[in-house]
Amino acid sequence: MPSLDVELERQTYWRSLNDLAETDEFRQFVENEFPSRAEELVDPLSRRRFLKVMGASLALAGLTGCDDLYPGFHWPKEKILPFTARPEGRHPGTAAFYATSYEESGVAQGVVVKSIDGRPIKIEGNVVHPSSGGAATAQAQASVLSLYDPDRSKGPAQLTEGKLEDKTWEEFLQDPRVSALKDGDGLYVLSATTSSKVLEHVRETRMGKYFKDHTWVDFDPLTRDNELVGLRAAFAKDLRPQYHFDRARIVVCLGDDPLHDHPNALIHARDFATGRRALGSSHDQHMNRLYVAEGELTLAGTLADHRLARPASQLPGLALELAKRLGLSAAEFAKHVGGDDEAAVQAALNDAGEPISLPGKLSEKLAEVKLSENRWLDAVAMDLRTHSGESLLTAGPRQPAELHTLVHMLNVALGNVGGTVSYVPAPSGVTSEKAIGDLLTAVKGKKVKGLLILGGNPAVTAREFGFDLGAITSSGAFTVHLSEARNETSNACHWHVPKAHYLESWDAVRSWGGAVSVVQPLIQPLFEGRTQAEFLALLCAQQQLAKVKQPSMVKSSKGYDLVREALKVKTGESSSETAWRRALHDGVWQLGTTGNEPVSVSLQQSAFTQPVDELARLSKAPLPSADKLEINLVPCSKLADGRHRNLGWLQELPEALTKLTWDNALLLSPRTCEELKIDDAKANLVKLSAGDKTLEVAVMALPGLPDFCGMLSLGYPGQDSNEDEVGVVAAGTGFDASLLRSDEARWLLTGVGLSKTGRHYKLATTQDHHAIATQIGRGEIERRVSGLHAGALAASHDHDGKGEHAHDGDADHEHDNMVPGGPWLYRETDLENYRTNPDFAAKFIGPSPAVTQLWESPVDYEDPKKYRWALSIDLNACTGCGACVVACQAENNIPVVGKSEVARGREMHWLRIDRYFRGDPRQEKNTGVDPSDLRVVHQPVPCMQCENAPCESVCPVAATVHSQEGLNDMVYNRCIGTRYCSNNCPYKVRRFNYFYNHYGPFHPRSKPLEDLPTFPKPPELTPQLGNIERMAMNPDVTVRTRGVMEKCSYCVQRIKEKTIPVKNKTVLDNQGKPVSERTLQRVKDGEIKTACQQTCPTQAIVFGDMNDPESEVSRRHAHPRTYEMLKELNARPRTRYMAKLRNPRGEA
Amino acid sequence: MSPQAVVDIDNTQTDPTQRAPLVLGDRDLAAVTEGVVQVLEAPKPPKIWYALFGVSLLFTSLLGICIGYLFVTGTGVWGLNNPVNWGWAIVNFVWWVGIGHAGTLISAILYLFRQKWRTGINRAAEAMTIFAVICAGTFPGIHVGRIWVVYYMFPIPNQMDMWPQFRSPLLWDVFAVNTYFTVSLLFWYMGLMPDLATVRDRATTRVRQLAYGLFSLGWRGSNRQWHRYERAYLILAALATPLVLSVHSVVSFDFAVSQVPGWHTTIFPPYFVAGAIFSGFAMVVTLLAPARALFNLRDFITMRHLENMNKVILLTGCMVGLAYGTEFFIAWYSGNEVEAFAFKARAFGHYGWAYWIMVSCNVISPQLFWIKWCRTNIFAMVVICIFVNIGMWFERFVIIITSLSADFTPAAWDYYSPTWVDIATYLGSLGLFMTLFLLFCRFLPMIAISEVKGVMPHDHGHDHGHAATEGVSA
Repeated sequence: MPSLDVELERQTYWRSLNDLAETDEFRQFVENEFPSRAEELVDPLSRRRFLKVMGASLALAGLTGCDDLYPGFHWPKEKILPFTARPEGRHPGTAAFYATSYEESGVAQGVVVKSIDGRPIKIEGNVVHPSSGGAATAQAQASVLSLYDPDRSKGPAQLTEGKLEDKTWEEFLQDPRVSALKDGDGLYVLSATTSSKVLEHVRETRMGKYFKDHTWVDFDPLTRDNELVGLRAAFAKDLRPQYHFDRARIVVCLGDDPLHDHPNALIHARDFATGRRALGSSHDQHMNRLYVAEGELTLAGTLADHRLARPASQLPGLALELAKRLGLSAAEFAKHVGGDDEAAVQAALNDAGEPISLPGKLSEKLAEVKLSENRWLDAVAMDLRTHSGESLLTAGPRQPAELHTLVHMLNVALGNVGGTVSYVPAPSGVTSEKAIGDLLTAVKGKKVKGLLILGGNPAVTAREFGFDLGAITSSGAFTVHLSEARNETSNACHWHVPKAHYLESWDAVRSWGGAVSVVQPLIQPLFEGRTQAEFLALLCAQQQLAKVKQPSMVKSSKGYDLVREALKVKTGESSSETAWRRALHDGVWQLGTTGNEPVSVSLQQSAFTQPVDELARLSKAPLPSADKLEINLVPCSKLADGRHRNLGWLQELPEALTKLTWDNALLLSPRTCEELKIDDAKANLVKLSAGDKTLEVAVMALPGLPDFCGMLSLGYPGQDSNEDEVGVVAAGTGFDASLLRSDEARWLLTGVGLSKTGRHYKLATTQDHHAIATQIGRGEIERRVSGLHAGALAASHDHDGKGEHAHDGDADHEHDNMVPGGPWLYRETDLENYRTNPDFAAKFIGPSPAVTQLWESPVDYEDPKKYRWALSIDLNACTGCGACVVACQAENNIPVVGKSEVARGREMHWLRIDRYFRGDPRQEKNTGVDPSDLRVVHQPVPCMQCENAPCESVCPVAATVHSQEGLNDMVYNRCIGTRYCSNNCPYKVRRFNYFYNHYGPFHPRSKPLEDLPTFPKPPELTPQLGNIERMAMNPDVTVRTRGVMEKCSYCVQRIKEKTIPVKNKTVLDNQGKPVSERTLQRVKDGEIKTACQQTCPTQAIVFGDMNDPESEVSRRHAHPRTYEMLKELNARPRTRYMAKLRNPRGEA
Repeated sequence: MSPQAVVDIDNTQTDPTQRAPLVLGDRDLAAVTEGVVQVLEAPKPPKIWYALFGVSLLFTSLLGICIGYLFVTGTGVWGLNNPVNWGWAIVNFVWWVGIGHAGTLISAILYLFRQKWRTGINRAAEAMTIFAVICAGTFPGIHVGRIWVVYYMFPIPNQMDMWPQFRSPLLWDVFAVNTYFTVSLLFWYMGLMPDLATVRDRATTRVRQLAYGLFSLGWRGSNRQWHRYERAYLILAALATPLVLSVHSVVSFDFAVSQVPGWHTTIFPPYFVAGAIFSGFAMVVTLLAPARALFNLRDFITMRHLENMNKVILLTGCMVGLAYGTEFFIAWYSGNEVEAFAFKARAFGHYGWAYWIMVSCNVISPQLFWIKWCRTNIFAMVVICIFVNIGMWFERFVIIITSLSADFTPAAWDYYSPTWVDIATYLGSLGLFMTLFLLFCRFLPMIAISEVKGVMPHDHGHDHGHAATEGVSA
């Protein structure tokens, strides 16, 4: 707990630093650590200033008084600089962990940052934080890369002759237009939505004073405005719903993926998985059941027990229909629910009619037959009625507000409020749409004299509202953009000023539930950045300075002072030192509070008719057709609205469903492609036209989408984007879908026309390469992946008509899954079948070799004195989110290779998530298979650490060998790169460095953009990654050179980090006496967590010691659901899977 | 009688009462020497030699450029990807090693079997073997990721106290190919010594005297030397014979010992050896048919020689065809579904085109050799032999690439396509091979003079009284 150990004030500290600063070592250190300062060191004249900037003297700080005006001089430096005298117990190179908070779209996520020698290198979830539960999203984890992004602004820049020219903070503050902003007359502050308490404080206490007439505009394209409006209609309050998925037995999502596409998704996923865990004995399993109706294909849809694919425009009608099925007509609903008496409502609902009689038997598994809309609705209604108080309905953020109203009314009617859902006050009742609308009205009325844009990229993300920043700037209004890196918005403003990264900032932000979370800096700002609050406080301070003319009177605009001040005011608590330090340590203000207390709600009778009428009107929307497509615009699951587009880790992270990297694509169902005669493998470029807007975009076929409904991600800058505007990594990626948006149609475009261009655009996927998708291959995949439906599928896809095993058809497999033979990679069954055949997963195994072991193993792995590391992956809990992939990349210095290398099949991820579809989508048309029937499975595949590792015996130089603890170790400096091991690995988890990938010829930073062709350059002709980027490397893990093989090591550095001290301790404890092996202490179960395990929101991954029978991994490995992938090869993998269960509605 | 007239004698007809002559043109011993050394004593080689040599040299430099580029930039310049970790380099390696089989087979096995017709072709075939193995050896050497530590493959005592890993078939390969190359080279060089001495003795310039004198190692042709020579030749033949079988068996272990479906089959060793002999003989025919015309060696490399080789090609082609069938049968009969898929995918999957090129070239085209006209028509046999070599290249391509591209885990399946560097490196290796072969043609006796003399009728007539043979020259 380093943050508690540091003494606050140490006077002697600074004197010694001055001395030390003269040494070469220190200079070297600073050069490495703060490259942007390096030249100042070289120039002896500026070294003094550098030292000042580094906060070398507290006394000096006191004397200068108006230090606010000096950039970078606003930090309590004593906390951040490396130690001159090493405190006892602290070892260089040893990681320290600090709690802080990552904020996205105004919602905080608690994180813990691993820092080595003053360098933050890895973001992990904060276990105690109520919005994290120990997990972190892929975006939060990748944010460490944005800290070291060389494309970040190095300092302020002024628009001069159409181009941004580098300036200094002083020059910015001396710009007369800045001081002309006084009193805030005509000053508009367009801020990216944030929950910063500090910003709020600055607004109230300072902006109110020095810019009192300013207008504040909160805008973020991804806030949940419709939900806010819908809830206000229902309850006449500004609320945020809090879902408790762990309490819900029945979950119904209407166009929603609360497990991923939600600010609180980590907790949702964790709670949802808790409700499906099925880790106990097979007979007392209770699993929740998930119903999803959607016009897109989301990960929640792939997890659903019953999914219904319907055009998004039809969901309002579906929701109305559902309300009716619940036994309540609109009028009845109003009558019953109008009152305040919830018990009466409950009674009304229960009495609302006989149980619905279902056509035919529901015993037929609904997921496996064509589930008509009616049957889906019937099943949902039945389940909801029998689980009142234990059910939960949600609506997606892009659904109309009225749908949210209806959904929450149903939640009230079903008695879910207080159980599975509660409501806390929303921080603001103003929606982004409203706020930006008002700003635009002001722009039209020529009222805007100054526009401060704090963060975000409204030039692109507010484009559809008619926000034309270039016009505003040229019309005379003074525009300033504060952001971490230059983007389209910066380039259209008079000034661009650098924003501090959150890892360089002090702040206090709020989680989804309202918990106040502390943001503390891990490092000095690398590039003179300031937070939003500091920036405003600085402007205020300058105004104040103009008035008081005496620097010492000016209020501090240091982030640290601001946060202390704000917390004192905002929390209403005595901001005692202990409380503050406790909060710094925990990352949460007052640990244990989850945030705001739920408020009681009551339905507004008056508000009822309007939503129903509106939904009824919406439900009359025509169905999409070939010439009038429906396009769902969605925030990219990786890049959001584009804010993460310059992060290589996220660009290269395979999108969960398409496995696309570096691009987005228009996703259409295979049947739609066929109907429109688009061959996505040969000529996939099409032109979309929505109204007067057009966009050329590549098509990719994705099964599971409703007919004539497309899905297109926002957030990509497009083919014409240039490095100066969007960053080197982002430049030229994807297609800018925002060009299709308009004020009226922001998310759902209807009546979209499509014309083919006949050209092809190469998309890079990590799976399902188009060229390999032959009929024969598809049939085999279906047969191989899961034995469950092999018979049925083999019958319909056995094109060569021979060689297949004689499966007895569908019926046998419905209830008897013990199909022998076959390398079933993925095992799943229904809960019902699992109860009767608990060991179904093991029984899938085909004929095992009679001889299990030819030779005795040289190592006795089962020796209880040794560790026997193993990993268990619960496929039932995995949601396919991909956070583990980024965690692995960050932990293990896995390089980003660039689009063309991914397209070549050379991505380097040690952990991949295999995604398989069930069924042949191309046959949908002929067989009439409903896209709802799609079944998608996700299977994370790290190294299996086989005990009989096939890779080891074929290596001619013994570069991959087995450790005593059973790990399949890779010795990088012994490897000569014959690649034989990878050929012989049946799981194909090994990755080869075909180039020096960290600055390989296809690395986006290694080449000028126009030089994209497939002509790899020798390393010496390739620009190398800069010092800044290298700072992101984990020093505990080798950075691999070219020509060596690498693979998952179970994070061996983490294992050693824990086992070595324990081993050493044993020796010391015995006072030098020889230690018998029996007394060896062992690492406790759960103490070592692999990076993927650490970040998994659903705890699907568990690492541990198999020789400890009590360990979690031992228990899991002994569980009947556990199976070994490709067991028939007798490789004896240590990584094992737990079969997936689905819970379709059985007989009522 | 002029040599031209004698060519008309059809020595491919086997008359039980008359043994067909192995050397035509009514040559006595001196004429044999004259006929062979005229190639290298001619003041200038034919113009076409210059043209071919120029082109070959160009391609050789292309090889050098490609290898340099590869070393400097990384293995990524090839089209390899994650499931397909071995590509053209290994295809070329196996192909070249296969080609390198004919020479030693002709010189060693046929020698032990007393197949006297071998003497006409063994020198050139052995040379071809050595050059092919040089080309072959290049590829595994350059295909590793870190070329600068490739010596880890060899059991050299070192400060790391590390030995190579003897369980790996790649290591067996290192030994097998090196042994084969060493023995083949020794065998070839030893056979050359008496002829080098002959050339030395006839040399008119100082340079030639010195060069040939140096390499003939003081050969005087004494009885004692001949005695030693014969014994050594026999021993080397005995040593080389198992190597012919072993080297390609070991190469096949690279695949058979792994567990990749499509590689993991016990038929591989004999199947690879048959394929190797098949391609090796095809290459000998491809080279010698034009060479005998170019250098006027029709009397020594007669139609009978060519026909015999074509018969071997027909036989081994049938063996290879049988192996293809057996593989499919076993894939089905074993009940191993992954293997069954590997073979289905091979024939009907995304690389089906390569499979059918292979079958057409390797199984169907040599069947034409059942027809005598095809066996004895230069144009037909060269075309068929080129087809066989194309087919054998594709056989390795099919085995290596298709098996790797789709093995156990479908999510990892991927398609492989070569880059220009792959293609240029392969063409470059052909250039290197041709360069070496053309140099050989120009500077070394292409026919084993002393051995040919040994199988000429006079000797036999003298020893065994086979009067019948004398009638031929009449």
